[in-house]
Amino acid sequence: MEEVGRNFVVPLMGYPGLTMTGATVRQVLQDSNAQFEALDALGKAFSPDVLFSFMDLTAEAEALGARVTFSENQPPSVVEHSITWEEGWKARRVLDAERDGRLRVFIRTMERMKKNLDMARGAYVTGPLTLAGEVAGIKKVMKGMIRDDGSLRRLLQFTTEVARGYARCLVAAGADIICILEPSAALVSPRHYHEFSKGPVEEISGSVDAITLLHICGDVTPLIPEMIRTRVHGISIDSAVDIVGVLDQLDGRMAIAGNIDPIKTMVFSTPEGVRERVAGLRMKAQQYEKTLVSRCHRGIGERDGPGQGIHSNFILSTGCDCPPEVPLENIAAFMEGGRESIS
Amino acid sequence: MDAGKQDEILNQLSEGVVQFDEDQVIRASRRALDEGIDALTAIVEGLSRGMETVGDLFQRKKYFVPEVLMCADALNAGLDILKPHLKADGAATKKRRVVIGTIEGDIHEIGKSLVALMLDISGFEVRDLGVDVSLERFLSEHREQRSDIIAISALMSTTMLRMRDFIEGIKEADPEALTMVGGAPLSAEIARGFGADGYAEDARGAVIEAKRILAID
Repeated sequence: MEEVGRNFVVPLMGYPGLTMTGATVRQVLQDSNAQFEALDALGKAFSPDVLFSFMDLTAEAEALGARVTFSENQPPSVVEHSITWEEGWKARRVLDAERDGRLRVFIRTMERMKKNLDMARGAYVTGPLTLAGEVAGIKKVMKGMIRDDGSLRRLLQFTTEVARGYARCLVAAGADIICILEPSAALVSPRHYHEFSKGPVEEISGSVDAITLLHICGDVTPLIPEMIRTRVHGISIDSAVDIVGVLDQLDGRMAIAGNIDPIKTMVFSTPEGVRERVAGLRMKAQQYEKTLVSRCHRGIGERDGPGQGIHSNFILSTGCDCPPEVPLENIAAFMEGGRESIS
Repeated sequence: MDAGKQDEILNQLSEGVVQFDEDQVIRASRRALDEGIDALTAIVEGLSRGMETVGDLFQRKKYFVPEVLMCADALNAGLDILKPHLKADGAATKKRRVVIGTIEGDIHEIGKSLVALMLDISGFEVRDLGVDVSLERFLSEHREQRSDIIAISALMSTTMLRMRDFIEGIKEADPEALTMVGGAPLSAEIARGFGADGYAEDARGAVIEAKRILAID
């Protein structure tokens, strides 16, 4: 078997950090000190190859004026849209990340992560399609794809610009990796993904000096051929997808991260169960993973100066973000299982 | 009226739904009434049949959410015309009742609304509570409606994890109540683990599952 270089181990985890510091969801999403402390605790305890900040799909929508509900221990949701379909977004300026909503919480957190953490740093950006649904109504966005009278495209131009701007701020603050979250794309056909989602994602990816990943939650099997053709550095997929089949299709063209089930395995399994799953996945992936050379200004794992990160294109990760209920010993088991040598 | 003409109109209704051609559905609904076709027949054998085909296309990954939403719009355009002409029916009181909502903390509603629609056109009496529904509200509506099934949807893994508590709370308040769950992060296994009586992957499956747990065909 080809010597592929090491596997990066990157569980998507922010919320389990609440167990370590006693902070609430509300606190970490509204206060960069609380957020950094939780991430710092996770980083020190588990040393993932990349530490992502907290996943919050409402931050950009809220900054654009959408109303968001917060609870102490649940990730927030958008409850009221801010843009009327007909014309609202035309009048709006693009975001000021320092002033609008809570975006600065994530930017300040990233700055502290850069200053204080050894491992590579990841940040999330809500994808243009998903953001469009949050600000103008997901049903209108979905139907807009069929009607295709131009209004959806104009809205997507706006949300793409928002996402680009925010991504660039996060990179300037220290993010090595930008993960674009597009859960709404899981609802559409490959043709509509190609028409309405691929281009905006590529625009964001092309405009930041960072590694970009595209993450779409759920069973995106029909979308995989299109996702593989999307110009990003890698894709991150959920547990419902056959990741080994995708690795085979990829033939080394890009990175793929995934896909241990964050609920069934990470919440409900024992640590032994987690290790078994991880070992099983790594064994299966072995046959298909290829060496990837990261040609960004900084490769993952290469921290000093320009260079190239040489590693396997298979990044062991969770299928989606770990909820707060994930026991810390399961994260430990994930990391151990990810790092032990497998024959 | 001749059976051929009735079939033609029913097919137009059904096809109109499948092709999400609202105009065709509206024309055919009016025609159905003009030609004296029973409104219930037009709904069940025209519109509902079309929506079953849509459900099929969705399961086979030919149709996705955008298409299904457009079909639902066409269906609703037909229902708007035909429903007012349904005969008041003693049998209505024997209709099985479902109270449905998206769980507290979760505001996703597309799937839940499609399930509500499919149950409605399949002969259930449906009370859709919307989104972010607390346990207390599920229970009070269940009591008020004397519903047979409480159906709970969750689209996020975080909100899904609360389903177990909700189901326990429902069983405690009314051991006879039947619960059904659905939503993208769920599976039959997870649903069983939560103690739900039924689980469905999509709207079409929800109708079949509701009938199964009520032991009706």
